[in-house]
Amino acid sequence: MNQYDNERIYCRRLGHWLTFNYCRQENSGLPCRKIEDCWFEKLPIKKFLKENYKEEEISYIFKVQKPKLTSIVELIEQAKKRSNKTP
Amino acid sequence: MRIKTVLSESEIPKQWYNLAADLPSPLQPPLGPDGNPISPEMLAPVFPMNLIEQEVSQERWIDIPEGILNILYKWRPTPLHRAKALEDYLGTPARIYYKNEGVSPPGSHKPNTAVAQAWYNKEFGIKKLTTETGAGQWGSALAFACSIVGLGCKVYMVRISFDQKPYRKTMMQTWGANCVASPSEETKAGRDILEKMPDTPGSLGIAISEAIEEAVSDTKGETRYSLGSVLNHVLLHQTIIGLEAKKQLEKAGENKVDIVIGCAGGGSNFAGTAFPFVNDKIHGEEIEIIPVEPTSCPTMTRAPFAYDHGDTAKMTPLLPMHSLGHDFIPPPIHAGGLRYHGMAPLVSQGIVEGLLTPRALHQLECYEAAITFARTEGIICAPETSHAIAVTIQEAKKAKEEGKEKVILFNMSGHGLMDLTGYQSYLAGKLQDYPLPEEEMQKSLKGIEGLPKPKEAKTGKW
Repeated sequence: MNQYDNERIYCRRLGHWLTFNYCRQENSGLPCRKIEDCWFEKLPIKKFLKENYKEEEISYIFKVQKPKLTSIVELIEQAKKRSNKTP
Repeated sequence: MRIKTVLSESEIPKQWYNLAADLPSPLQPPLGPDGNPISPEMLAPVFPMNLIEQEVSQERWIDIPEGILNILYKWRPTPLHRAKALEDYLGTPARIYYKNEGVSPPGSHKPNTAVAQAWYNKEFGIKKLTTETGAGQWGSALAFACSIVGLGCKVYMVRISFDQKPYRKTMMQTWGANCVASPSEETKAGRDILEKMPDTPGSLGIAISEAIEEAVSDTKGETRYSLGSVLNHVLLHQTIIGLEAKKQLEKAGENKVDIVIGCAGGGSNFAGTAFPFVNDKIHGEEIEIIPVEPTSCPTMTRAPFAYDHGDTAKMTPLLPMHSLGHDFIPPPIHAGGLRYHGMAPLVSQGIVEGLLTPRALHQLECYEAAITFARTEGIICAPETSHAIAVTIQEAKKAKEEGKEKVILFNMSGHGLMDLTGYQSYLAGKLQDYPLPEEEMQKSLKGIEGLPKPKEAKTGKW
């Protein structure tokens, strides 16, 4: 699992360099949804994913992203629910 | 020889240009999680109504309020440089121009929208803005804008970036922003994550959740959220770059531009430079307009690998609204927008229409271009900007081969003085390019071969 952890890449989302160790845990402990797009040229990334993650985890990681405004509306709803629960 | 073409304050454009008014195939209204169009009220907890109106506006020209112009004058109009030293170095007959957005106080194009957003929020009675940031280019721009406008600013900075980019954090704090590492103890979203994963390095997703939660849970309604890319109003505010460039090119004696180039991440700096020229192209001008991205992690030049997993995930690019059932075919623009997901919808549709021709480059070529630019023009550019410079060099060399006097414009979107790690690796010979695994690519494309193709809304004119 950690054999590539020190490999480095420029992260387009964050805007700085980081290691594979971050990419494989970015998504609440699971890999970043962009992991294949970013690493396909450098590592046998498909093989890595297949060997280390269950099919349902891979489904979760690669669920197709929603448009930005749609996801903002979802986050607003989630935040409202959290606020209501907070004593 | 005129190297810099400047405009006086009185010559600054007084309106932003809205491409949505001219797109030959208009954007569909964005859909909410329930599949119905998003209403302004749904966005009201995080954006003030004056910005929501801009987000959905179909007006071609939108007046820039005097209050915003008075702040922009601190560094705008930005100079248009003739890259004569680079031209001489390349021995090209092309005339190369670049807008220098690195002269803004935070050093990038980002304050063009940060100032506008802060100003509109203040007008609406808002007292504080929240946002998320990675390396801090956006966070520092918003911190600067809030400081000048007179708003509080809270920046949730992804923990790994917070630890790795201390100087950006210091910039934000210098401008008076409260910059906290995300996940933080300050929101329920942050506390929940920390409880489960106390050592997490954070992510943009968590940071956004925290920033939105802080805005939504302000019972006084005095806090809103601000986003630095992708959305229509962000792109709108950036068009001042291209509008100034048009005036400056005319002043420099250029009647026609042949090629416009910008790097494209979320699309805002590219759009800001290019959209006023896209308007010309729509109305008959022959201009090649090129958004550029890296081959690694592209959003415009290759379908994302996520689509390979369409079957496993029980959704394909054509069936993103799975809650509506598998028979639901989304409106065409959503297919286009999703194809380039992460990219601004207006840029996506420009690509679908053929108005924009995206290009992807390897990192070594980009750093090589950045070094050439630094050693000729003297400016150390941001890593993203190097993509635009690399394509400029490609096109200048092509003009030389063809013996054509082309006019090339690109956007120098920011300086790289806070981002020297890549230069360090390049100069130490530690950067490598990797040959494209063609076999892998073909396998991937085969995987999506059987899927129905999106019905694209395009006129077919370009």
